[in-house]
Amino acid sequence: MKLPGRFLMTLLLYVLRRLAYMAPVLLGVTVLAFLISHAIPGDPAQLIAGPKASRETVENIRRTHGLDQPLPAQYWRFLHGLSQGDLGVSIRSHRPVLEDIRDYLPATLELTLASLLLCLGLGIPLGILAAVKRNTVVDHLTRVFSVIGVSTPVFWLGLMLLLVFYRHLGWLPGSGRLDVTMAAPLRITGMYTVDALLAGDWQALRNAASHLLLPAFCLSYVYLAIITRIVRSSMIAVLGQDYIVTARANGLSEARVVLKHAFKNSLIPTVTIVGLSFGELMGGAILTETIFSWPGMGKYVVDSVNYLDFPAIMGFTLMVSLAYVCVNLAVDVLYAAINPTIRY
Amino acid sequence: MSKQLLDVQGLSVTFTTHQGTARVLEKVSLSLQAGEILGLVGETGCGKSVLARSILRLIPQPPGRIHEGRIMFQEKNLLKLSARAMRSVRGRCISMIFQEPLSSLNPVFTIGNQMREMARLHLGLGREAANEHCAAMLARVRLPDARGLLRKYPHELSGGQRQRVMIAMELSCGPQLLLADEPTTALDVTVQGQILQIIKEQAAQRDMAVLLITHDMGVVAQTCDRVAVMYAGVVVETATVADLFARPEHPYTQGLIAAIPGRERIQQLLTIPGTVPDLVTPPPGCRYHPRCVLRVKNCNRIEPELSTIGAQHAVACHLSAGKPQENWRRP
Repeated sequence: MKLPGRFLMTLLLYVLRRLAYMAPVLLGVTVLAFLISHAIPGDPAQLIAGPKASRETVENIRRTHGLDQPLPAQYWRFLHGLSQGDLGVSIRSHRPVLEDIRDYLPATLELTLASLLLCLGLGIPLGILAAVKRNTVVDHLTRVFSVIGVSTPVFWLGLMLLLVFYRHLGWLPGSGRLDVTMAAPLRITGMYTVDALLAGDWQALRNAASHLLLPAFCLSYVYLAIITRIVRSSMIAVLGQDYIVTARANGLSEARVVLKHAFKNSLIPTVTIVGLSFGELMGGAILTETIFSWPGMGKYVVDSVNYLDFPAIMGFTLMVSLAYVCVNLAVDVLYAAINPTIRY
Repeated sequence: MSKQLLDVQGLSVTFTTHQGTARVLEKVSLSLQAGEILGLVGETGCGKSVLARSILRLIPQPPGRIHEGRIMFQEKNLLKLSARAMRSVRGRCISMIFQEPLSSLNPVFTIGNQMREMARLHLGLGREAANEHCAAMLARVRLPDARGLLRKYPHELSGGQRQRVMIAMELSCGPQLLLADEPTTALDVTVQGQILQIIKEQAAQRDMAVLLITHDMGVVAQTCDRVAVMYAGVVVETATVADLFARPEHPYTQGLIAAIPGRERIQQLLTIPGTVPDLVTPPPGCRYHPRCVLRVKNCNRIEPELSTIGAQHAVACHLSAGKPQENWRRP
């Protein structure tokens, strides 16, 4: 699609403005996360030192991590570090939080993005098919597929997938991101499939993708089902519009009517759901990661919360919010590209 | 008389509804010559739009079904064409414009995108040539700054502009027949006149036939050469415009003409009592008889045939069959 220059200019200004708005949003997120995590009862210093530690040891740990200071001072310290790109040191792992994020976040991001891709890559064609073949066997089958999707608990689905595809059929691996004998591809993004693709390492790509498939499907199924239904219903609504009759009356082929004229219109409600789903997928990843022993941030965050590892909690909350805000910005930009009545 | 361009013979269409099967068109016959503007009038729901859509085979099937009849266009029965052949008739040989110019243009594509698509499909033009062609078409319907307009989206245009864009688009591939389904109903009266003028001009220039669907007798008088009056899925009268207004034969036509608000009848607007019948269980005999003030005893038993009563004048009414015209009077 050729976009006029004027449009790109206003779009750029809009994106810059939105990026500026992002700062207060993220600041608000840190305040909330900080207050909530400190409201959890428990003493992290005591947890780290263990039940038999002496008073001095506990005090010592408390001092080194700055836990003896009043809350506003602790928050200020966090902000000060943040302004220099320092998220502090994890109380539990004694490593800089940024390094932990570097290790764990890409795995989760890879899983989430792969699920999103599955949602779109399967959900949209299925939805279109169901709408075009409305009230036929195809439509009923996709309906059954969707209803199963929204009503199956993730933990059960994960176990069943493992049982069938790993244990009985042996088609796909059941845990981890790569075979243990395999070396990880050169790190660029930290997402193995992407890195393998960038490095042109097809063997690693195959291996990483086969590891990714089951957890990604498990995570995506609910949203896949929802997106299929949304695409179907918006497609049916669009196919009843006058401009579809015009397109047909103009002699366009049915494929062109559906895939060009109807599809772009039906994307408008779909995009909204996709933006919202992304956040849900990231949150939902924790359970899936546990089932498939996926070394993502899910387990790390749960452990951090159990240990009241404040810097780690803050760091991850910030990263997830950042990803969420970015995706929603992308959604808003997409809106403008799809729907010309929206101009920023 | 020259050969017919379009000849619809005995067309019957039904729609399956929850209440039963509605007989929306009942043995409808119509014909049109090249360059002729035929007005199709009747109340809302009488089957005018279904007729136009049936000609292009655009009624959704199911629930719609074309039962019988022929639609001869340039000596070919459109009902017998393959889906592919039918697509090459749509937009190329027969075009259609609709009542609501906003909703009949796709809101998410530019005017240029939609117009070019058609020109490239039917005329095999390249991108630049198509652009050139579309701009020229827009200029012909008196839209200024055609080039700029091609880059705009439908919502950036006024109602009159949109309808002109629709006309330009539908005429862009040089059709021999234009089906205009209430093209001016959604527009201001002043804009309405301009649009009708453009349609008239283009029909004359290209020797193009127009089937102009309307419920406005004023529009008919202003624009058409001949008129077909429809009532509840049946063509009840066809005549030249002059004939129809001077000697309306069917009681329904007489009622329609009497109901035109005019200067001399300002004190009281005449209406036809009753409403359009339910098409699932249409009245037996003549479909108009329950509302007809002139009905006789055969009216509720025997369906009147459309029979010729003069040059280009045919009517489906028991009162007119075989009677000299002086023998009846308007109520």
